[in-house]
Amino acid sequence: MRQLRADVLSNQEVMPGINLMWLRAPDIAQEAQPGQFLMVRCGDGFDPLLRRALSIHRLGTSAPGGAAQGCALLYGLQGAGTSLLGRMRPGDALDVLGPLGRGYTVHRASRNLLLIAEGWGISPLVALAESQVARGRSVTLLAGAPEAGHVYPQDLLAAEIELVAATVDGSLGHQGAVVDLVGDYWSWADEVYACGPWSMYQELARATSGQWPRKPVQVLAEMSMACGVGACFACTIETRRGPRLSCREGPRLLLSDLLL
Amino acid sequence: MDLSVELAPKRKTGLRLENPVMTASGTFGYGTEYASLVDIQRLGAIVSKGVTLRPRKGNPQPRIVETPAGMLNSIGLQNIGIRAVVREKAPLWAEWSVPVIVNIAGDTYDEFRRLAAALEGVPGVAGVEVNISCPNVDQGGMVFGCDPGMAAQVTRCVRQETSLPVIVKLTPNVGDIRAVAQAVEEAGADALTVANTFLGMAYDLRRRRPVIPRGAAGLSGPAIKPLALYLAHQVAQAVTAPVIGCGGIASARDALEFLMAGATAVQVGTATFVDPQASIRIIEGLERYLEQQGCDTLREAVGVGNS
Repeated sequence: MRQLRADVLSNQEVMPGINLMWLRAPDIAQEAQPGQFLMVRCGDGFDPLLRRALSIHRLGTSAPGGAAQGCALLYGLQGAGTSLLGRMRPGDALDVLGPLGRGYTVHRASRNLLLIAEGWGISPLVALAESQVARGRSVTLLAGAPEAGHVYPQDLLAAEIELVAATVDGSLGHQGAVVDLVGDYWSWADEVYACGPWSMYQELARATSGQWPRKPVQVLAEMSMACGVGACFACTIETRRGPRLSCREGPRLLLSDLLL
Repeated sequence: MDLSVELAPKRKTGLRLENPVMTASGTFGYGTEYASLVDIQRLGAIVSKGVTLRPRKGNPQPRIVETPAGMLNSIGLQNIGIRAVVREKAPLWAEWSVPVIVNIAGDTYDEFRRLAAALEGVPGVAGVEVNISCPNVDQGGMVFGCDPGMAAQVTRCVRQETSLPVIVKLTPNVGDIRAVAQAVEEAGADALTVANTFLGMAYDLRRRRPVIPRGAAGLSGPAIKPLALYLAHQVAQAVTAPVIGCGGIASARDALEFLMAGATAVQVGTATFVDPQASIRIIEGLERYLEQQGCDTLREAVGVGNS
């Protein structure tokens, strides 16, 4: 964990209202695990006041100019804080703190990984997918979105990653919830990872309770945080194993430990 | 250059800080959380998270909400309990040169007594800060710090059980803070922290309910600085005990305002979330200020107005 000023390498809208920002952050890129996050200071003033917790969206080699030591963030332009990030230009410096929290873990023997995302949840799963196909594993990424325009752009993803879309309006891929697709891949997957809103975790818990064999599902559960380092106790989440600090003991938790 | 301050001039042992910049309770955990980011030994002092007799799970989510230049919190004193603090944290603190002050919170006079007694003679504990912003279960849930008599009684209970310097942290949610300050000083407080968070609210328009389940929550951050500064000034005029200014301090300029208003030291809280280096930057800023003013001591540099 460190605090540093990272140079912005690029900052572009990749979906409507959603930007992808690449940072030059060698120290963070070397340490970071997919599923970890950064606390990002948006602007220099006190309004908005708090740092924003943003998942590490991509790491390393796909940064512009081939900068191997890059780290990318995916964020919406609507928020009071993140809208300030949208104004940053290449060469500007961003005050970041990280990498923070516990990221996803992948068992050495695992070959096939199933990744399930809804909405923003795609952000950390892209980092996981890219890091794992680079190690020769098979990755299927199920991505749920309201409509085709909000599905993560295929051309930004490594070709080795299988992307399967589900849209609420049916404009791309399966019409309906992304969770509907899980059953088709369950027996194939050695490990399962998810990131999305609480409602998706509820659906996922229901959908997978009948699946056999049982498999642990690693999810990211991020609560509102002020510090990101375990000092303020704002982000405590109740689990079946007792309270956990989302920032330090999470955000990676097992779906089966969540009180849904 | 001498930035040192004395927070317990009337006690034999005293409580001398190398500089007047402390961390505010609840914003710096148990001191260890920021240790890899911040050179904590440079701080004037660390004040721990509020500690209760038994471990507490704290309040339901959501616990915080951001407001203009501020934040509301309702953490609910989640902590590991006094026994675990003494067993697990104090031995670490004993290795540090920075003094660590333990913030204690009780529901009854007896709990305050037992908390103070548990810290007596524990290596690594440099002082006690008494959180009187909690409801008094013995007296219908009225907040200790809202009544001069109750605030004084808590102070006496703690004072009787400890030889450590006792700092009492006043609540700003009171009609006349000077009356509480004077009562607490008379009851044996060595120093007063002014103040704690201001009660506030925020509504969720979609749910038509307060964002924080309990409704009211504590407001902190730059938004409250002028309010806290006024209270620190009022209290400094009313007591002789050292006043520790706390509320929205984010820069050396802010700290200097409190010192000029009569505070002896300051606590930095929410600003640490925004920038973990906030306290260190403030210390460096105070050093620069002394240099610019051509003064050797802090007292010399700020001891002008007090009016």
